Amino acid sequence: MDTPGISVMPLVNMADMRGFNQIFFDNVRVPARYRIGEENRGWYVAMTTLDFERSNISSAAAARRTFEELVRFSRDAGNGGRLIDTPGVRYRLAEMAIEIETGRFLSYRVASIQARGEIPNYESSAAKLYHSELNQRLAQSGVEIMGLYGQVREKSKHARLRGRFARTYLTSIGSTVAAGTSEVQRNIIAQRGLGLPRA
Amino acid sequence: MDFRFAPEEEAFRREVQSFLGENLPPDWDHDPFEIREDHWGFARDFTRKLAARRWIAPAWPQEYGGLGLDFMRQVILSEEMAYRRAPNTSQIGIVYAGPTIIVYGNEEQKRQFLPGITSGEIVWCQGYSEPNAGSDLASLQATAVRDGDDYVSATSSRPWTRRASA
Repeated sequence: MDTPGISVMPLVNMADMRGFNQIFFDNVRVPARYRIGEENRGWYVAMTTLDFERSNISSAAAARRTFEELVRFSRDAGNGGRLIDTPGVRYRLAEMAIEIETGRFLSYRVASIQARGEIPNYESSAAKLYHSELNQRLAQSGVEIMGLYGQVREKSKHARLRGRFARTYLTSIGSTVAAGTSEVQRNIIAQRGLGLPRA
Repeated sequence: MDFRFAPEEEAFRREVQSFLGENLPPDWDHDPFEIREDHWGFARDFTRKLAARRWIAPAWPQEYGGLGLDFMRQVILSEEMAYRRAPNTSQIGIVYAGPTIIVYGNEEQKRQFLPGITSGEIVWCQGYSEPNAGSDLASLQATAVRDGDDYVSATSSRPWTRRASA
């Protein structure tokens, strides 16, 4: 990153987080021996990194933790009765539990391909698509179930679960764009997974 | 068919859990990938402890800083780390860049790049997106021109680069 010609500018997102930066290249020289793979085959190398990026192996465990916290909140909180005794809340939580388990097995499918020394492809897209959309549903469930508490950010004294859902409600929006949009993933699954013709 | 993890895999999971219990504060609750500036010191120290056990990428071959363990052990490790929200400074190196270098890199590149990932000393960032392409990588415009032993980039920018400030 200290190569001449590279400059970095931070990008702050709407949840006030600095996860991303913008990098500028201006006549940057890179030794050719750093090139991975053959010349003019960079697309395929880059797509391989994406096959790995989309594997989402840790997402299911992260979602399970967040879900367990939401269940605990629903047991402890409520106005004149526990939230978890409300049918709508129970059904929503049950649905999330099923989806998180489904996501876990989609990730294990990718993992078992990698464990055989192979490169996952449309299987990674399926895991990525499912988890990114699941995380949005989970964030939305949290915001809805927690009511006003679900909208309070971390710094407030009224924050619960460190304002997690108020934050992830915003940050999870980008997850269906980053690493390839849901549309890109569905096209990959359709063409390479199901053998359908190109859209 | 038995879909459960094998007893030795469950034992490894318990080992990871107790390592995380010893090395993370009990109330640790931060986003593992969006590490705040005031947490970088802790995150780097924690990463060094993982590296000392060769647990950054335990499924990689020993000569590149791994342990040559079965890939499912690495899966178990990342599951437990994600569950505890352990700071993860090496994700791009372990999950995206390293495996690609293992597939496409030559031996010299593997020796040059992989040990920096498994020691936790080199933090990788990923710069694919462009202002006029977004995440649609088929629309990228950036080019590099060969000049002797170097490639020279044209002027371009990559928004949405993770970890570039690390």
